[in-house]
Amino acid sequence: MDVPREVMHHILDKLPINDVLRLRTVHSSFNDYFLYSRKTCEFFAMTLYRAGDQFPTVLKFERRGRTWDQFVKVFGVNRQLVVEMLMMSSIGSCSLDVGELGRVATSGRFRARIIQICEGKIDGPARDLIKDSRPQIIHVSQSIGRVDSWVPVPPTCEKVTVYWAGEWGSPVEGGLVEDGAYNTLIDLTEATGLKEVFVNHVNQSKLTSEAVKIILNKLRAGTETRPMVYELREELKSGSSSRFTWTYEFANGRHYINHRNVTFFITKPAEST
Amino acid sequence: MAPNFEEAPGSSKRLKEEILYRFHSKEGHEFTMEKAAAELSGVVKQISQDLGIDDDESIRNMKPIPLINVSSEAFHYVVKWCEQHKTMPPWEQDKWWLNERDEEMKKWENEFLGGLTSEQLFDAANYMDIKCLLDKCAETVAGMIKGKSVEEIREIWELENDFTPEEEEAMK
Repeated sequence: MDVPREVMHHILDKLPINDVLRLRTVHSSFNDYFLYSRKTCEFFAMTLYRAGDQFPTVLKFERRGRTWDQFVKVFGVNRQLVVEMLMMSSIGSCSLDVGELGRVATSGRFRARIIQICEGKIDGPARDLIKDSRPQIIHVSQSIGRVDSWVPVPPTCEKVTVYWAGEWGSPVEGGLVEDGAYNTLIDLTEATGLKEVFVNHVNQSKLTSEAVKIILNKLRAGTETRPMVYELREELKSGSSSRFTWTYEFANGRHYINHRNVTFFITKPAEST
Repeated sequence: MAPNFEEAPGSSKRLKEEILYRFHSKEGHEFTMEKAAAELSGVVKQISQDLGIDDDESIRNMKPIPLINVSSEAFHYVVKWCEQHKTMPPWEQDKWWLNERDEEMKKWENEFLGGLTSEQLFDAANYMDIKCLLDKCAETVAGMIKGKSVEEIREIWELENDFTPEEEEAMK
């Protein structure tokens, strides 16, 4: 029997997960199909969720003593696919890749996509999806394969992760993306009605610290009257045990931005406080 | 036995009074399908919407919809399926419990698909975006491999083992 390739994921959705995983060893061509089945996505998401106790993140998974490489070996998948699966999963901590939606709209590169989203104020399907699904994690990135682009988001909170990487390091492009990043943040907040916004920034360029400064300043200019607490967490690329967390009072005007990898938390308390 | 397309429920010989969509199969055969049945297809609905077809007269005047990936034989069965399901509530993609059929319909579906080599029908359902048929085809094929060993699945689907010994070892 010739299996219709285009409909494979429909078949997989009808099978128990053990059968789905077994299929992977039947023929190499099944890998692509099984990875995109809803059931497999949920399975992977749940695996990661359990591995990380309460945080459905790769980062937590690593903390439990299993490295990405081990994970990849066990499941025979690559990082990008796992991230995509997490995004596609319908498990409670639903996530959404704004970048992907942007690609549909623009067919452009990452830079074009993020600017499109910013200028378009998260329009069309992206906006509707955000409203409907109320995701806890939103990715604005195409460099999501990086382990350190994942950060814990408590599943009980409604938060947004905005992640930028790479291309805003260029002196030419930097300004545009910085503006875009800030606008994205504001748009996401407005689109979702979130009480908290969570910004993850992985520095891949020499100018990133300056870019973060600019964003900090812009945020301050827009939100001076509200009490805000910023937490900066440094994630060093080498040595996962070397992690530090600071609480940063914005009004003090201090900056912790001069590191290779910076995870930058912005927490806005409820309006009533 | 090959179906007689001239006498098929979707053939162009059907009564003119019915509101019928017309189709061309891959081989160029012309078929018709009653409106309610045809509109189980997401493709038909989309095409109608794109062309601004919103009344019966427009449907009558429509050119045949070319189904370049659907064989006459597969379409013959698609028509049968759609005629049988045309009065069912709209298929709910994410609410499977709303798609439960009564016992009589389940029996009909099982008998209908039981005797078919379903690849072509599956492809047709996918191409025409007929969700209830797609779902049933998936269920049928999944039932063929559920609980089977790797070797058994290879046999059912006539697949060669294309992994190297090293790859097989790595997957264990």
